[in-house]
Amino acid sequence: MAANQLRRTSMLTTRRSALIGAGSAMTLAACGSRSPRAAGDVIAAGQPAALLIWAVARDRLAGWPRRPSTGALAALPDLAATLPELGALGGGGQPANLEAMAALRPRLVIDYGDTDAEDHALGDRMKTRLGVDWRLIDGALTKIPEAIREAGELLDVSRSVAGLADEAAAVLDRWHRAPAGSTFYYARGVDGLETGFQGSLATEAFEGAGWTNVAGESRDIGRVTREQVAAWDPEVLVTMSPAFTESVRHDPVWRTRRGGQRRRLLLLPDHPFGWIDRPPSINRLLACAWLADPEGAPLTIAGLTRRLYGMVPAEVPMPQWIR
Amino acid sequence: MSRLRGSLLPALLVLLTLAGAFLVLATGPLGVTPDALLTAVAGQGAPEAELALALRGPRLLAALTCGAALAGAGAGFQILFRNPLAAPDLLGVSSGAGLGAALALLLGAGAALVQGAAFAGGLAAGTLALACAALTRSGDGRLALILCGVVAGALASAGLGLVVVVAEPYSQLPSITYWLLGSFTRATMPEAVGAVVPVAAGAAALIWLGFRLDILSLGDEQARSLGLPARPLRLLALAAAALMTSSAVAVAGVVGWIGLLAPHAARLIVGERAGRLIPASMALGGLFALVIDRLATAFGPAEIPVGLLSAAIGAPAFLILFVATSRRS
Amino acid sequence: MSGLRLEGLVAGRLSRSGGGFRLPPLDLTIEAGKVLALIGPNGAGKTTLLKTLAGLLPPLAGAIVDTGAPAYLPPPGAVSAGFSVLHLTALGRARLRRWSPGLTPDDLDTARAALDRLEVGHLADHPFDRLSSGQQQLVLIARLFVQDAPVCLLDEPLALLDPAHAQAVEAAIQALAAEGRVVVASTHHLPFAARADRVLAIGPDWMEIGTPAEALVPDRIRALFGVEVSGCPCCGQALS
Repeated sequence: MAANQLRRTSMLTTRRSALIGAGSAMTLAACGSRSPRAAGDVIAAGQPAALLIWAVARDRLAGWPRRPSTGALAALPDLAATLPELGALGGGGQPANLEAMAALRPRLVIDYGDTDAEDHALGDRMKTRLGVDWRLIDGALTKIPEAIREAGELLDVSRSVAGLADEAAAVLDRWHRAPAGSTFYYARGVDGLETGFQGSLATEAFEGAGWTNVAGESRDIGRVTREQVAAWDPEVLVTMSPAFTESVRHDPVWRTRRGGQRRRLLLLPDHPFGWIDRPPSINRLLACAWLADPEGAPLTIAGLTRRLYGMVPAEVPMPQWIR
Repeated sequence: MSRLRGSLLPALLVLLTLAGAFLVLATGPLGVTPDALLTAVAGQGAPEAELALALRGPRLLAALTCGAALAGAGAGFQILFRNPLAAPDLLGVSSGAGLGAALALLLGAGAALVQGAAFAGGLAAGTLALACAALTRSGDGRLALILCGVVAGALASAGLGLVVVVAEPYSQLPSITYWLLGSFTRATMPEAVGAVVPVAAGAAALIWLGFRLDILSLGDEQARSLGLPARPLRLLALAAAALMTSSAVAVAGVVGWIGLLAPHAARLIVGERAGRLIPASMALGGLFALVIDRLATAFGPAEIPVGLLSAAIGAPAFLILFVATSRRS
Repeated sequence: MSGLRLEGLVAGRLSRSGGGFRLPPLDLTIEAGKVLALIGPNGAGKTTLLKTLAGLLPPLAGAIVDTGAPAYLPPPGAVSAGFSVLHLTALGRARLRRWSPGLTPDDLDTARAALDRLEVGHLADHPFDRLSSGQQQLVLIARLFVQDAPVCLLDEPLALLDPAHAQAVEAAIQALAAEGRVVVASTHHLPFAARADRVLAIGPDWMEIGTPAEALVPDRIRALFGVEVSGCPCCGQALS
């Protein structure tokens, strides 16, 4: 699922192919001069997989498919900044330089996301080209505990991830039992006119917690008009973009509902990685934890953040309801 | 009889466009009835009607302005260069505007700034083309202008390609791509009004030039022989067209084919004289934009980029028109 | 209208590589109402001289004493326009309409009158490009009437015309002059030159001005063109 969604947005990036080799080679060369990375022998096929590997056995990660933002790297342990950017294999974003990857002598490629026939075929193709074992793990939100366990097995750290998998299972259990929530519209991007329709990966966390996604009639990610959003009349606008929040917090077109009431605006953290999207990976557990129990969440979230990312943040970023 | 035809037809076209505008204003997902809308216009409507007006008004204005501007600029270029394939992007203005917008989006600017950057980019490309052409001092400079316009456009496109490569693929690149594909719905009222001003100025200049454009189309020698200062007037016409095109792209993105199609259709109705062709083209361009605007949101909640629609409809329409006129003559 | 006076005018073209050509200096006075015919071999510089007189090319030396804005008519076929004959003719009044946004009905009436006078009024609503060469030339001369310039410079106005249209054009040219303008016309049609008031012959490196009787004797023609002619080279009419 993840790879497909990302693939659709990547149809716009064909022009990048000219600079792949140069970019990746230069990044690798730069990294080589910093510190030798002997233990990074697992390649993530896409950013969701990278997050999974990072959470499970971060010293085994060979590189980022897409380099996290500077702010994210500052918050993550130092290891994150030393990893090279390798590009994604068959997913969205900058396509990978296969030769550069092969030069790292990886032992395993893990893909985390959609598990339909297309992705299996892609896996087989890549296995032949890279000559490396390729494993595809189901990226469904509800299967995150299983995904953690499977990754732990592949990376020989089953015992240490058992705790994380159990905690994830507990979070999801509470999440399933969350009371019904509001109707919402997911405003993606700076202008908020891109959204995830019902059933998309980005909105899965909210939809599973009993919230209703107003955006129907289409699938996955797409663009809509402001009038359409007004016609759908959601109770809550959910966004991860501070820029969008700033631009619409005082805009009556966005904040006034059909009956005249004020529409609520929820700003989710996107630091170091977004809570429901970008990438749609195990980071979505944080949203699940919060949705299951908004009041008592900070403790759980602090713990999860530490286990998923290795961060000990002075202040745990939490969702904010914007006036 | 032809005198009557001459003054009646453009007026008829304008009326048709206004009717289309009202139709567009009255339809949309919010389902507000026309009388509710009218009360909203008067300032005393229900909140829903006010909302509909606040959303549809700018969209309408942006569509009309963009369509009329591109059509007027296209007509002006077609007359000046005596080339039926001259389009508003002749001086590379659309490409320059696209580059300006892409740069602004790359730097994370807000919508109004993006519009301003696009406008500036378009004017910069046009100025570059005009300046380079002025350097060549060849005859009446039409060929030089076309070549320099192609070069300016190519440079801007190359710059745009570079921006696309450098842009962050998950948020910036889609923003840039969708911006370039065109949309009438993203402008707010102040932004739409901001676009109207340069377009009105450019249109006023072109309409005032009127018969002088006809003279300029005869060539510099004829123009000077008839007593016109050819270079300043041509510069005025080109600047007006560049202003209109920049403004159109700044408010709505790159919408092609209107500037090529509307003048051809207008020519069939009102004839070749600039004094009638320019206003008629603008009316038809606005009408075409309204049609596209309606279609963009007619198929489901997702908005089809208007640049795609204008190509999908405009190109075949142009072909049909071309075949029809060549069969006639 | 006071006529045309040239003082030491040197017409010519300078090319960057150092080539180009210059005509000998020209001192000339033509009174109003006269027709001056320019004759000479191809490439002698007739067009260059006309364009210099029209102000379209800068003179290399000397001066044209200003008599008012001249009007220049290029050879037949050089003007093409898709709009109507009436509009093209009315454009002759552009000089008067410095600031107004359009041509006035008065301009259209003047144009129509000029077209009627030259008996092409029935073509007023036709597109200019659809007319024959002869008709186009008559329309353009009608525009000269509308333009009302004190000096009219015509480049080979009789080229490509059949005898009927050639006659009509010649009559129109004479009418132009009769109204008090100075008309300078280059031509290969020697009988037309014979009926002009003065003839300026432009040879390879000399220029001679005189009456038609002086300029069109066989010696001078031989000196000018290098061939023997007994009649007009283009239509065979006997020279007077």
